Order: sequence, then structure tokens, then C-alpha cells
Amino acid sequence: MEHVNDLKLLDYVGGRLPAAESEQVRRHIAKCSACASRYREALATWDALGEWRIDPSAHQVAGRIETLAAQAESQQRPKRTMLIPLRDSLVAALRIAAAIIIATSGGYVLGKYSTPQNAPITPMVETGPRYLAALDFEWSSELTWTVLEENTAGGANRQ
Amino acid sequence: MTHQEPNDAELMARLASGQVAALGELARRHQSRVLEIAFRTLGHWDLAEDVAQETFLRVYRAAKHYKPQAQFTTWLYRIVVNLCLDEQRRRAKSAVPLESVASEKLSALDTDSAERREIAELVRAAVQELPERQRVAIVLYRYEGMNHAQISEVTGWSQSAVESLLVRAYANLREKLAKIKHSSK
Repeated sequence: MEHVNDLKLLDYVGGRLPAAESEQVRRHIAKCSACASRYREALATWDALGEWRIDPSAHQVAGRIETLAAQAESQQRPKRTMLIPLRDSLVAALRIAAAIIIATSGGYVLGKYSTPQNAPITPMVETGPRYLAALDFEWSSELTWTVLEENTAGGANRQ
Repeated sequence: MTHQEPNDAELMARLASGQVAALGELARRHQSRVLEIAFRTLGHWDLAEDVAQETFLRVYRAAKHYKPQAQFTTWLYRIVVNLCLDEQRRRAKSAVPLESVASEKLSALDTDSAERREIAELVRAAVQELPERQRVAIVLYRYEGMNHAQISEVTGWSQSAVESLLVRAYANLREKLAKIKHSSK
């Protein structure tokens, strides 16, 4: 004979079993003294637990909750209107600053790479009078002076 | 013409649209059960009130995102059970046992006899001595009338875990309460 397990016995005592199962347990308990004894213990525990009765009516919180919720609602609204323009301004300022930083950095990098480091010295034709004046020569339209420019980053190549 | 009261889902929709009075109505409707669960789990009315208050405030904060997929009460009881478990763990960490805080003896009704009050106190103490998960399971089963599936839904534990907890809790209680000579009604 298969005895009633503890869970099923608890459900039987607590009235949680479907009708058909409940009837099966009832019939078994009527025939099995061991299960009948366990059933009486389970029922006594169930009834004892029922003696702990409480009355929450003196501890109502609904009024307090409504007040707190209303306060929270009224406090949120002014904060939202103040924060939104500040937040938008801050976001816009950060975007502008980021754009400036990116543009400046990009310009620096491009400028750096557009001026070659070891470029060959290229002659530059100078026909203006100021170089002649510096060398105590007079300007002549027939003369073409070649001025060698030093590269600003590399070594000098003087003639 | 009968005036039909709004159901819980309708009250939540009103709350989501900003009608704070709907929260008051929800609290009035469900606060007793919330308080009962909290008190039986935590053993103290001041803690139970705090948990009940926090439960409904969480309902208020979650109203805009609430979708009625399950029964409102399942969701509500899940909040209160989680808050109770959090409170128990917080107290366990701070090493302040619940029983040492302003003891809440005599939770039985005033109309009860001295013997019944004594039994009620023994039962209260026995339930409080259970491990926290066993306590929650037995409170929801015995005092809130939930079945295994409902307890599983509220707590988030598997049904087999719930069943195991119930069996162990009941065995513990049977042992502790064995000395009570209870006369059948």
C-alpha cells in the first residue's frame, strides 16, 4: 500500500487537492493507521497555526501613501522645467566644444603632414629689389636671382 | 443604475495618467493583505507598515510602465515579498535579530482567552524562527490561501522549490508546536 506523502497530506489538510485526489487520500487514511496518525498531527499543526490571528485595521497606510504620492508629484514638476533648459544648454555647449577640438586637431594633423620633413631644397626665383638692396646691388630686370631657401625643419643648405 | 467600481488594471491606468487618487484607492483595497503578509513575515508592525508604504510607493513609481500581463495582486504581492526578504537580509547583515527589536508579543485578538493568546504567541514565535524562505512559503500558503503555483509566481521560485520549502517548514512547525494541546473546535 502506497502511503500519502507529506506534501499531499499537507495539501489534503489545507483543502488544496482536487476533489478526486482528496477522495483517494480520504479512503487511504481510513484504511492506514500510520497515515491516519500523520494526518491527525498535520491537522493539529494546521489548526494551531490558525490560532495566530491578526488585525491590521489599526495599521492602515493608505492615507499616508496618498499624501506622499501627491507631494512627490508636486515636487517633480518644477524640477523638470528648471532642469530641461540647463541640460539642453550644457549638451549644446559640449557639442560645440567637441567640434572645435576635432576641427583644431584635424587641422593640426593635416598641416603637419602637408609640410614634408625632408623635402629637397627647391630653388626659388626672386626678382624683387629687396634682396638686391640687401647685397648692395641694384635691381635689373635682366637678372634673375636664385635664392636658396632653407627648409625650416631640415638642415641648411647654403651656397 | 449601478455604479461599477474600477478594477485594479483601470486604477493603474488612471494612476499612470497622473490621477494620484487612484493610488489611494488601490492602497485602501489591498493594504490589509499587504500588511498581513509583511507582519507575518517580519513579525513587527512598524516594519510591516514601512514595507507596506514602500510597496505602494513602488506601485506609484512603476505605474507608467505597468502592463497588466498577470493579475495585479500577483505583482503587488511579489513587491511586498521581495521587500520583506530584503529587510530580513538587511537585518541579518547588521546582526540585529528581529526578535530583539521591541518585541511584538500578543498579536492575537483582544477577545481571545488567555490560553488562545498563549497559543497565538507560541505560533508567532515558531513561525519567526523558521528560515526566511520557509517562513515566506508557509505564510503565503497557510495565511494567504495560495497554492503552490501561486506562491511560485509571487516569489519567483520554482514550484518544486516551493513544495520542498512547504514540506520542510511544516515539519519544523509540527515539531515546535507539538507541545501545544489543541482542542478541536
